[in-house]
Amino acid sequence: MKSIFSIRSLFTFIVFCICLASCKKEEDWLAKKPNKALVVPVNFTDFQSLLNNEDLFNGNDVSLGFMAVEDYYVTYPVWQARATATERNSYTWEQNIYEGESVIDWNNPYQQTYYCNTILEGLDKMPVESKAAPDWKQLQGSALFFRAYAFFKLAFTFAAPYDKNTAATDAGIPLRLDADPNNLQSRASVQQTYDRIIADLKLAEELLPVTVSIKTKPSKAAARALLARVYLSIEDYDNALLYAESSLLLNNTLLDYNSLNAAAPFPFGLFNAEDIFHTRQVAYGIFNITRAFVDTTLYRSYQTNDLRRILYFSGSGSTIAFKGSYEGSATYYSGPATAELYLTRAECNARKGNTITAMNDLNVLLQKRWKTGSFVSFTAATPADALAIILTERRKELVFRGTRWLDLRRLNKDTRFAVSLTRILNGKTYTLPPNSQLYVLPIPDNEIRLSGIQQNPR
Amino acid sequence: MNRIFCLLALLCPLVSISQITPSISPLYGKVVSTDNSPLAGANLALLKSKRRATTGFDGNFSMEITSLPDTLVISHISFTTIRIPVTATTGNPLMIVLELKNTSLQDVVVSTGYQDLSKERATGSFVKIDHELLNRRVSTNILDRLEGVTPGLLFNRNTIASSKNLLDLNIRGHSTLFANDQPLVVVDNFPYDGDISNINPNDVESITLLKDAAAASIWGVKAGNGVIVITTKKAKPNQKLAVAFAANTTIGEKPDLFYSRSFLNASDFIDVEDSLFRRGFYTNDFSSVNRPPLSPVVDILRKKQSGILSAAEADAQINALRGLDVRNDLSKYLYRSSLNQQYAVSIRTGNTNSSYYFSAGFDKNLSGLQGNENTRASLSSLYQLSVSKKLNLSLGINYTQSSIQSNNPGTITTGGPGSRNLYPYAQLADADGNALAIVKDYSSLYTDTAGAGKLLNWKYRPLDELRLADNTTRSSDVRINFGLTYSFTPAFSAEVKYQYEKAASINRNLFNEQSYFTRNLENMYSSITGGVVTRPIPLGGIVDFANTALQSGRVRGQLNYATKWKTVHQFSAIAGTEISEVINDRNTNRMYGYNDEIASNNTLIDYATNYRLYYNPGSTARIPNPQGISETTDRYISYYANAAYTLRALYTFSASGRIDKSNLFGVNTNQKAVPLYSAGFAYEISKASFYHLSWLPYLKLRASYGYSGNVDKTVTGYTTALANTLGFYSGLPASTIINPGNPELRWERVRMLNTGIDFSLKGGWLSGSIDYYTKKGIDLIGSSPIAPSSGFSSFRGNTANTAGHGLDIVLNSVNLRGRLNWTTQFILSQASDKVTAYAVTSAPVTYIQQGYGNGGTIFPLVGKPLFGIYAYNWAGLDAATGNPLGYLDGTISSDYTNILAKTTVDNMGFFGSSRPTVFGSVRNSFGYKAFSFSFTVVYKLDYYFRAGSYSSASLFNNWLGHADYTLRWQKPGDELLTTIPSLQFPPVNSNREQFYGSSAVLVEKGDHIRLQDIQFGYTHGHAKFFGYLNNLGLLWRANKKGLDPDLFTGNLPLPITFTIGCNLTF
Repeated sequence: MKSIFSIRSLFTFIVFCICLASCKKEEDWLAKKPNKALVVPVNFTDFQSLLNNEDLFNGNDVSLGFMAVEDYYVTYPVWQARATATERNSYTWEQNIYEGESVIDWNNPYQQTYYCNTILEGLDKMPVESKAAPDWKQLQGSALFFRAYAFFKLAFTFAAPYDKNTAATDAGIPLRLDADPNNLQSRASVQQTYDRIIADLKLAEELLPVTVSIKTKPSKAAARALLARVYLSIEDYDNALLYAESSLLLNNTLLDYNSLNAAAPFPFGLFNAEDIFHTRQVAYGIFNITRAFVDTTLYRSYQTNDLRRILYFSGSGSTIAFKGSYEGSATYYSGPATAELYLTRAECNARKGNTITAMNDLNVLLQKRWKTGSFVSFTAATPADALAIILTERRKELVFRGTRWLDLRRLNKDTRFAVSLTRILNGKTYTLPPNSQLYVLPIPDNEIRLSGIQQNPR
Repeated sequence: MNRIFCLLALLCPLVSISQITPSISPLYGKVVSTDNSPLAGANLALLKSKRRATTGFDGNFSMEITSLPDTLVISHISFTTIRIPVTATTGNPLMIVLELKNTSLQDVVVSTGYQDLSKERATGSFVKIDHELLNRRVSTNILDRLEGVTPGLLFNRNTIASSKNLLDLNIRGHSTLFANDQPLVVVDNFPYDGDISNINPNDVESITLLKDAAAASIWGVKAGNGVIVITTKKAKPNQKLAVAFAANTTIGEKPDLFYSRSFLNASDFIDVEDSLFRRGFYTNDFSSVNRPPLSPVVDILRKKQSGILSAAEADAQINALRGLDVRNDLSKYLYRSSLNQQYAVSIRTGNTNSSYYFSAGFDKNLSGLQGNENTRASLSSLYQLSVSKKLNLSLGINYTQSSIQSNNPGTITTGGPGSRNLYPYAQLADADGNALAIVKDYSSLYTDTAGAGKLLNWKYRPLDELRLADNTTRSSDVRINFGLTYSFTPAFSAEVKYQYEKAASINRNLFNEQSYFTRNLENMYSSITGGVVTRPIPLGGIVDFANTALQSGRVRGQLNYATKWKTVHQFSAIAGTEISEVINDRNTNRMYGYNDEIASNNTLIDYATNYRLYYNPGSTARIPNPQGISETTDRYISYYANAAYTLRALYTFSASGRIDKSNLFGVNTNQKAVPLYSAGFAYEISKASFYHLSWLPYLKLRASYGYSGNVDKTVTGYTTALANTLGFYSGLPASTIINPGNPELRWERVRMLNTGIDFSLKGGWLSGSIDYYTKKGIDLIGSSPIAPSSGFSSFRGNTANTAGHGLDIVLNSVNLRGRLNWTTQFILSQASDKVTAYAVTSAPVTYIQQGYGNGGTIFPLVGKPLFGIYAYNWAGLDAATGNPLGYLDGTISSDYTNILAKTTVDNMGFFGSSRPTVFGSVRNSFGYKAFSFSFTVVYKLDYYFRAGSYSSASLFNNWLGHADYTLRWQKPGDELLTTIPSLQFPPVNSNREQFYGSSAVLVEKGDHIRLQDIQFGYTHGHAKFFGYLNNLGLLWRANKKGLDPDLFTGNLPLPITFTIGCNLTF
């Protein structure tokens, strides 16, 4: 009987153990992550790891605007067979362009926004002592920078161009400022949109470090350069000048194009010295370098001794391809670079009447673009002349960067610089007149359907 | 065969001689079944006296007996064999009662993995496949033996998973969208975590399928797809030493490469190339910086154009290629007849308080692909000990070790943009069998001279690659079971069961330094400056490792109670708790500069630098670094209970419930647990006092209702990032947010209502069962759209529902009883499913191109089957151009861009499911004396598939030919004879290609009937000899294109195999 008793007690013990496991420790035991690689982002490393997703933050900059500009053209067969509905319709400035396709140019910036909001909320929850750490500042600055950049991209693609008279009532974009996917936002005004972009960028500018380990991370110079781009786009030339100037204080390097090998398939190196912050545009098939040819008038505007003619372009006749991306490959760089700031500073100075300062900036830049010894400095008699020259050179310098769209939205308001864009396909001519409503792209169909926000008139 | 005839010749005279010289009074009597009806065709054998007899129609028999004592063995094809000792005192006449075999539903014990149930008292839908039926078929994997014999179980043969040799099974259709869709496999007591192919089929006693809620819901959240319970062989106490030996050899035909229609003969292919060349199609390729591969014919044409070859020489060279067919070379050098050998030995023994089972198995399979083979060795033992009357222990240890060599991928492709196919006139070897080079990733003219002798040879010789390949996976699996049962009283017992399993596999793929893979990588990253070669990838071999390890522990405590009182009440119940943990580790690694002789490698690899590629300095790439590591953990805590009450052996009520909790990440704890329950009722109406249908002596009605579950662990409750990527530029570890947090996540649930009858006619002439069920998938994880300004375009949550219903019918008939026995089993299953709630509607093109599940993913469309076949409506061919015609806004059109853009979900063509909705088998078995013969016909009906055709774009760009090319529209009038469009010359309108490839004219009915197998056997004493023919081919198919619909696109039909073998028992 004794042995049986002891076996009974063994059973009692085992049953007890099972009960114990199932009650007290159960919750802890079941808290184990099903996959080790899963992370609930809570610390600096987690947040940085989200920002390291360069494919999201740096690799897919909006390019629907670029798709619609006259930097390039495609042939009718390419347009007909190779392109998606969005590509075909954007190319010819149709009223409705997506035909139900999802729109990466809308989705991507908002995905960035969600990541940034997740990080900002996480950083906010950290203890006070952590918030003093340099990592905290850099992450906070980076998240604000990326969110502001995302809002800016959305604003210049899907909201009306800034006009100080109507900005308070013009529809801007939904400003998602928290990480709750269900917290739907209607469209803020254009004024509110730009106020938020500028405020966030200024905060970021204070928080971001001067030097960063890689150019895909935002730096102080990057925040200033972006502020310059934003202010320029809303025609606040004083502030644009201020931030272009201050960014150039941190980095004013210009590449001497004479030192580059024009025979190389892609003459520019990745992260070259002019690159302040690195992003590249969504690689839509329609403007792949094998299909998109450079506008011939534009190409002819580069003079023989202008090295950009051979460093930016290859091919001949009507089939000129672009090879001048600062990405050093077949995808198009779109970040702010020092040269853009020289041009911005020059333009702002010209607009302020500082002709000599303005022309000086332009000549310093072009000196590095022309064959050594061949460049004859530009001169301008009046600020207006200076402005005209600078804008022409801006167009030539920043080709295939995506900035042309911004400039067209801004400059078309000035009758001196307004242009009508035309496309010819299979004998049919399409036209985009200046200041057209078509300069504001429609909000994607699924966004309208699911959040009920207001659509843009086209 | 000769030996068998000799034995026969010997037996016949023995019988006749014995009738002349009786020495002891003859034995006579009658054989009846349990309902007292006489049994004709029962075989009787006296073992010592060596006499045989067969009962007549009255069940009577009479036979001589020459020595005493003796043993009489009585067997019948549909009844259980029994043995009776015959002594001097055995009185005449003998009354022998035989019981129906278990296939006929009576007194069968089924196992749920938690308990053994008498099928008589079961309320749920069980299918039991016994040892004999399992052994009728020959296979290395035990589950293969269920095909064609199991109602409700569909083997998907036309899916991407099955094309990769993975088992793809569905029990009663599909009831999930994105979660695991395979049934749970249980071995004895616990889920089997390792690779099921590690089980030696000779160790398996029986398999039970749990199909409805009453049967399966005891398995809770893992039972949503049904459960397959494998019961292994055990020894019994007091068992005499029994040794069994099994051996068989299977020879398979060479796979038939000529079956595939995706091939265009060399001559037509060359004509296409010639006309493309003249149109300047290849000009871009000649100057392309990527040096894309060009076929030999294009190279010759180029040489002819540039004057290197004269027109006559070039034409002669090309014409020499026209007669070639690469499939001859592929068949000769890559394929062979397969040869599978299987050996197994087992020992069972037992004494009064212990029993022991031991077995060893060895399999060696040489696949139909030269260079591919696998071996498996397994050891298995089970020791059971009664320490006292009340305490029982068991200890089982199983070990399996296997090795797989996969040196032959079975196909050869050219590389380059769009992965060009092998051209039909490729030659793999010269007349003497020496390996020849074919075009691979770059044009031949480039690799002829690239590097001017400084680089490694850049040619690709497929046969050398086959010879150099060294890709081996070694795995081992050890499983230890421990069980302890203590009976407090005869009615009440408690048990603890524990299982530990550890499995590991190591894949080592060595790319020898002479292999093309290694040479190509070396050359790609090399650069030459000033005549000096820089090699960022060090010389030597490259070796890849992929290691996986699985470790699982499961422990269960269970209380059992079973009692009878006042003879009419019977009650049984179990309750228990179970904890399990399964950890899967995986890592991959690569070594460059590997020297196999001294097992050393070069570690100075710069993975960070973007090197300019030698063949195209305009593009850069990092040295590939396939290092990776992952670890997943599954934990469960479960509580379960189950009870059944039977009144007067007439009514049975059953109920079960289970709660599962798991480490579903970040989900509110209370929602981690979900109770899943079932209830069942059975009524054996034939035992009721009012029941008087003597022609139908057995009739039972069953009904059950309940829930089982399914889990999708890819969704989490917290906002979760997955550290799954690297920064595109920086190469730093980067994360992706995979889902916004959803703390409301729940298990998927499957609700099933099952009603069935079991019956048997008088004398067992016809018996069977019919089950009808409806099932609903509830709270299935699915996507729902969310405004993209949220940062997401869809949200995964419990948002989808599905519904299904079906029928399982099994009929067993005894057609002939007598000297010749003939029985038939007829199985018919019907299973249909559809999506009833799903929040996202995709673009029509998605359903049309992928809706039928070719990519392995479901694209749910409300109101339609889970795997629907959709197509663009077809309006024939244009009489003038041979262009395919479709419909645009209801009118016939060839505006492909708009047809593609404007076809809607509502007006696209819908045919039906791409999965068979009616399927089953008919098996006829014959017995004559010691001989048996049976054959199985299987059928799959009421489904559709998409037949391939040719595409101009694929032919030009991917060198992918199709026999349809030769049948295409070529001149006006052809549209009356063919539905295959004209060839498009460049520029190819890709929308036309897409339209035709997805048009209704290419959708075919999948219905077919197949002669699956034939088995014949001969039993002599302790030995059974058998032959088995499998995959005999189609008897009928609905499609007229000669296609086997039960194949994944591009797969070859399973070759016919022939097996001979024997089983010996002592």
